[in-house]
Amino acid sequence: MTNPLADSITDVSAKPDPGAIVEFDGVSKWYGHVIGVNNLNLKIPAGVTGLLGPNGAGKSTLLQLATGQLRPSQGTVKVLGHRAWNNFALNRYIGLCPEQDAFYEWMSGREFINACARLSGLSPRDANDATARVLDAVKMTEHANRPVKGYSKGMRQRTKIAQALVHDPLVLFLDEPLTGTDPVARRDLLDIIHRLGDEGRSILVSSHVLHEVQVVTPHIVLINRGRLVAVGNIRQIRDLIDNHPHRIILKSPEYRALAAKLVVCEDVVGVEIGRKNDTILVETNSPDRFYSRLSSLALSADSPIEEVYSEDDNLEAVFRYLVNS
Amino acid sequence: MSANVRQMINEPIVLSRGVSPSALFTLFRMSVARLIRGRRSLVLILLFSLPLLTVVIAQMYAPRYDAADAARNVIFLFIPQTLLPLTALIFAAGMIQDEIEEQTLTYLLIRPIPRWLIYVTKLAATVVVTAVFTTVFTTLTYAVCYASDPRLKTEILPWVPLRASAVMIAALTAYVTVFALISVFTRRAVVVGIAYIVAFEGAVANIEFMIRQYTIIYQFRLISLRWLDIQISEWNLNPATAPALSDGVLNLALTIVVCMTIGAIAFSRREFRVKTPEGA
Repeated sequence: MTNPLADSITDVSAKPDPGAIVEFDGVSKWYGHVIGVNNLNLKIPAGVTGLLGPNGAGKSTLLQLATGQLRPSQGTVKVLGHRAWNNFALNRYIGLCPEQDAFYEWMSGREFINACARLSGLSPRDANDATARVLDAVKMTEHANRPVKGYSKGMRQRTKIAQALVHDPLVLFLDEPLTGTDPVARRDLLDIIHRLGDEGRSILVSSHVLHEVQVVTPHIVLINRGRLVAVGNIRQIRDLIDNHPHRIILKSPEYRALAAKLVVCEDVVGVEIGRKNDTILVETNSPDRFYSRLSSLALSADSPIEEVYSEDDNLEAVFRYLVNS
Repeated sequence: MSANVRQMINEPIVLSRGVSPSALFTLFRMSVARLIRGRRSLVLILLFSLPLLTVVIAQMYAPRYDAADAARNVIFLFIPQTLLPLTALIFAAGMIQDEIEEQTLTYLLIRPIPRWLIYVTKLAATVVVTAVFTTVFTTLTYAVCYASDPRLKTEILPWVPLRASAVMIAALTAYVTVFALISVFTRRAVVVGIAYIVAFEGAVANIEFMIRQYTIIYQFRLISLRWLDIQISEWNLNPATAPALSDGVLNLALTIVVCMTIGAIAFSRREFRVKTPEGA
């Protein structure tokens, strides 16, 4: 049996692209007996690229290899034509929004971003200007003087993106930038990433949710269990995913009211109360319609939505399908 | 595609190996801020309050209180034997480990600063913070010891505490480099450090045998003997046969340079994973 999707996706062993910004050449990474990345050959071109894979697929490992934090067990990783591992001079040209929700909590958002600017080698005056510019870009100017420890998840994610941008890097790596954010923050963050792409930056954005990635780029890299599954256009992948019911978890203090609103929607095929009392699990056969409705739902007073997670079981099924075929 | 990226693809960028002093100063400032926050400083203040309390009790209840004896016993026996290594351990063990545990190390590693320089800058911040603590509490201890003694203003302040602090800071710097080095290799730096303090700096340093010359506390005693003319019978140091002052200074300097170099190299080559892969 042939898989039309796999056929339509770019062959991963295609000839090297001379315009590659990030290059993985026979890269493997082991953590003891656990494999993080397995013999990866990949050229990522300039522009915005989505890095898609379920949790544990190796996305963070791949980004940490690209940003020189991890040394490949085998093969070479190059960014902008230079070796990535432990190459401090390269860091002037790259920015990373890490996955972990970690900050110097005692600092205000402005102090944190300013410190990152100074660490990147900007003079005090340039750092102040750059801090003001990126705070404005991520819409955090109003909250910039508050301590980071009081920030909401969305504000923390914006701050992380701001620190990655503050030294005006050529290449930006965003590791799950939308995780745990509310729908409004999610929409804003996607707008920011979209705008950065329009400005001509090269961005590699990782996610385990296809519908997040497709908003910012049609070009995706699919990995699973440390292996490259496919590189290509998002449309074919999305069509396949839509054949599987999509499961989304919503967190809301008014979860019953929210469930009541959702259960009457045509595209919603199931609603369950989650194991934690303030969450509901929604199954939809039309994720696009569902996600487009979320922002307005989140803003309504009787059914506020605090967080949105997408279960990646469905994506895992797609990966299995791709790998097996 | 932006002009920058287009140009860069055709013509690879030339990387500048220079490091901004502003970046290093910021790293130093951040490291100091991290070190002096939280419970660590509080624990240290409590620890250094112990000798002060002991002196106050002695002044109140000892039948024959002698300020010079009290100062010598507290400042040259108790503090260097216990508080100095503990202070160094408390601060140096967290120098890198705190950044790893709180997952903030990433923000430093992705900056255009060589890793060895990150290590050395953080080490310098640790030494400065602990040195300030030590100097303040040493001076305070002298002041309390000589509280009702007229010599406090005429003979003691400010030079006696400062000279004693200088010797302590030299030993402290050596301790900091040793414990920072340990913390690069193991997460259990505090446990290993305490074992080192008890077994090596505690037991071995007090045995009159050649190996004690490799302890930091021995070098501290030697410099105190030769430079400050402090003689304490428990040290088992004979002024007639003890090595010269330069030997003590050189040995401490060597310890500092060797430990710092190994630590910086190890830190440069080590991977710091912020996220453990599933199943690992």
